[in-house]
Amino acid sequence: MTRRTVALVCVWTLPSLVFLAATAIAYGSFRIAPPDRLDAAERTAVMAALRAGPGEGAAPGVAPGAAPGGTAVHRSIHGPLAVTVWSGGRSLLRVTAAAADLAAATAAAARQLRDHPAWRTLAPSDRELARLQVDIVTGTGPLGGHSSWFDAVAVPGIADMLAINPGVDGVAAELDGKQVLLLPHELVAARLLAARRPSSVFPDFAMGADVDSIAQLLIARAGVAGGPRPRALVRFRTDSFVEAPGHGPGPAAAPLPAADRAAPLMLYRGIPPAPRLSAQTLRDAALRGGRYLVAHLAPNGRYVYEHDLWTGTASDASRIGGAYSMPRHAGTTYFLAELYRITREPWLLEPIQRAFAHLADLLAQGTCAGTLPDGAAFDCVSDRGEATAALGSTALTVVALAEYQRATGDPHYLPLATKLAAWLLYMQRPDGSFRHLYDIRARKPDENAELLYYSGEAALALARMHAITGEARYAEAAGRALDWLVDWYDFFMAGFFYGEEHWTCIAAEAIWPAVKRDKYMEFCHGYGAFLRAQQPEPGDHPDEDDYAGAYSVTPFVVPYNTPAGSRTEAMISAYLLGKHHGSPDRRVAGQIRAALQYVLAQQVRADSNYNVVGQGDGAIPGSPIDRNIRIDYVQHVCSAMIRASEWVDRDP
Amino acid sequence: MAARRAKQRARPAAAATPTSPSAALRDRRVDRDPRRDPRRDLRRWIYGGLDVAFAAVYAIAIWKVIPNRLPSGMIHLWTFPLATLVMGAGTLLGGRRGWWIAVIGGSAVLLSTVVLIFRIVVSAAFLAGVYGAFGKAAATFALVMVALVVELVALLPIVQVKYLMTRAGRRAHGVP
Repeated sequence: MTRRTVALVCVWTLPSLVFLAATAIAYGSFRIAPPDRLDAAERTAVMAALRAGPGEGAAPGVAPGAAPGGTAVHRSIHGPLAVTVWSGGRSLLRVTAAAADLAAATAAAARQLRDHPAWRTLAPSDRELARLQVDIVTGTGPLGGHSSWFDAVAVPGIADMLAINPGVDGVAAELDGKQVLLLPHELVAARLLAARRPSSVFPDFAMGADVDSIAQLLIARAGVAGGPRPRALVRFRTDSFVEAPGHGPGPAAAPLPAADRAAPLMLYRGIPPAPRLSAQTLRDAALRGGRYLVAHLAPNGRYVYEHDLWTGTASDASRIGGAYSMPRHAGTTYFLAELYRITREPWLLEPIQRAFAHLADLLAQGTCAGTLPDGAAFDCVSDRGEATAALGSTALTVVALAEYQRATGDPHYLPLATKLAAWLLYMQRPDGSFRHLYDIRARKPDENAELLYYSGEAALALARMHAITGEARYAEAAGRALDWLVDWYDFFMAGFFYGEEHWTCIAAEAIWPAVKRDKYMEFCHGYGAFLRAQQPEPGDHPDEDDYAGAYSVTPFVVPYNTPAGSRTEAMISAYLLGKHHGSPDRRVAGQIRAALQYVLAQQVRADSNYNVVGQGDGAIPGSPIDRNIRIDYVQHVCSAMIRASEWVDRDP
Repeated sequence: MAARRAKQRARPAAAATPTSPSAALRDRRVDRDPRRDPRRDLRRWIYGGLDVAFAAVYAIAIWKVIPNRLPSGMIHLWTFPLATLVMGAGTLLGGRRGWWIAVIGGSAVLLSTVVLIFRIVVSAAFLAGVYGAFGKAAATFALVMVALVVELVALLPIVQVKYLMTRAGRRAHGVP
């Protein structure tokens, strides 16, 4: 072999070998294998031992780490065991015990728990109600941003910004000879996992962990404030589980046998396993969402706009203005009317009327009302003090009022809906498009402003007006609006890119059969295919199987929950539109089921409300790591749930 | 090869004999052949011009289109226009020194490209380790990024360094 041949072979193989070796080294260094999780019996045994320990003390002769009459779970563990006590949704205390054997660590944690002042001062009934969460550290790995060799060779910013798998990884450090842990849920609660703003072009887009603040938090947790910065931070993973709501022994008069008590629930990213998808589960979940919204409707008819589940802080519904969104007020009321139409639950009626009364109150103040050039009376919705009326606020109010009439048959709000619809028709251009903003004082539409969603919402409002009045002018206007929306995609590469078109597909189905056009169905099926490409299936991303069914970009960007709801609303309409045309798309049906299974897990319910402060049952958090609730999160997700409950068991 | 060298050496002697007008024209063409008259090798000027243009485009792109807040990222990105400019300056300067400057500049661009690809590969492996997978979208994006980097950054220095290492490139710069 000549030198030239050797050189050629090296040139063609060495770079690949170097890249391959670098890949293997980086992957192997940072990979923490998924935990070998305890089974239900083992979880129950660990929890019983912890409960036995902190109570009256373990019975004489009972093995360490075992409950009286129970068996200790002997298993070697990689790291410490942490026990968090949740009381009233808040983390009351946490103890940490380290031992090589799980039984020994459990016994040590039980002793610490028994001696902890916060536990001792808790009333027996509160102790019983409190829910214990156990985190067993199962593996550790280096932390990007704190790994000198890797930080030097990685793409700048990646190592520290995406260092932590949010809600799955915890961070630990050695401080003053003591190991200090920040558990995965504690990092989520500290809001340090989506704290970076990587682009100045998108100032609202936040992702990536703030590792420096995490280090500061560890110092504070260790009680060495002002002490040296921890030298070595490590990531760790845990096998986490929490006591089920029915974990207690039951009433003293008729205590539950141990076998009937619910086993502790496995947690992944702080969320227990989802209920199985069925029409009944969806209906129950939608009603839970409805109850959440009703509980967050103030006496004045305005919703408590936001609620933070970690702290219990909520928006002040009596305060006018601020971040409150009138389109969302109308959209949420629309969902409640839809829920009433499908379930006929009587407790929904009064809150719906109260929310409408608030809208009527705003309209009565007459800031945006009058007579159109053709002599028709009009009204449009705007909040107090607003100088501009948005098309979406009025459109969704019409949708909500029409939905109320569809649900109750009561035409009480029809005159109001007609005046609002007159304004929508006025805002439509001859080509079917809409003006989106209206200057109330100048009585003049803004010809230039283009905002998301509004055109689709207006098309739906007109379709719904046709449904309740049967008037052809509404069907004609809705058809023109849909033609404009769908035909907008007549360009090269169309079909590969879509905007947020969920209202378009809802409107396209709502106007059937008054307007029947194949292109609407083709458009919505195409939109479905586009969205499906963003929907991971179980096994696609092994550590992120809990994201399966959501709409996400990559495994390292946590998906938001609302799109899983709003896009599913659209897909339900796309599927029904296909059925109307005689060609239902089964892939769309599968897409809907996957998304609904995902959001069922995300909804706050009895299983998962152990860390919820305030009335959070039925809420849909912003994302698996964002525990803030806004009314429209619940609206979109629960609307999809209740609509799917009508056919999900019946259709293949 | 030795025969070709001998032939080239023999040609000046042949030019001393009287020739027809058409033969004289042919000889002028031969004189313009860069293999015979390296100073007239247009490729030197084409490469030099391309280098300056690419360096300017890189600089504008880094400055305006893909600004990076992280110093290490900025330093790495700026190696591309600077090394390309060095390569262009060397090529346009000519001579033995210019040849060395161009080769070093071109090699620096290539080295920086390889380091960039290495960084992308290692970062992908890191993300797969932390998150359990890299994902189809991210893998596609990373591959497209690498392909674009090769196409937009590496191709010019690859071709140019290859040219500089050939006999024509060396002669064009007066390097034996």
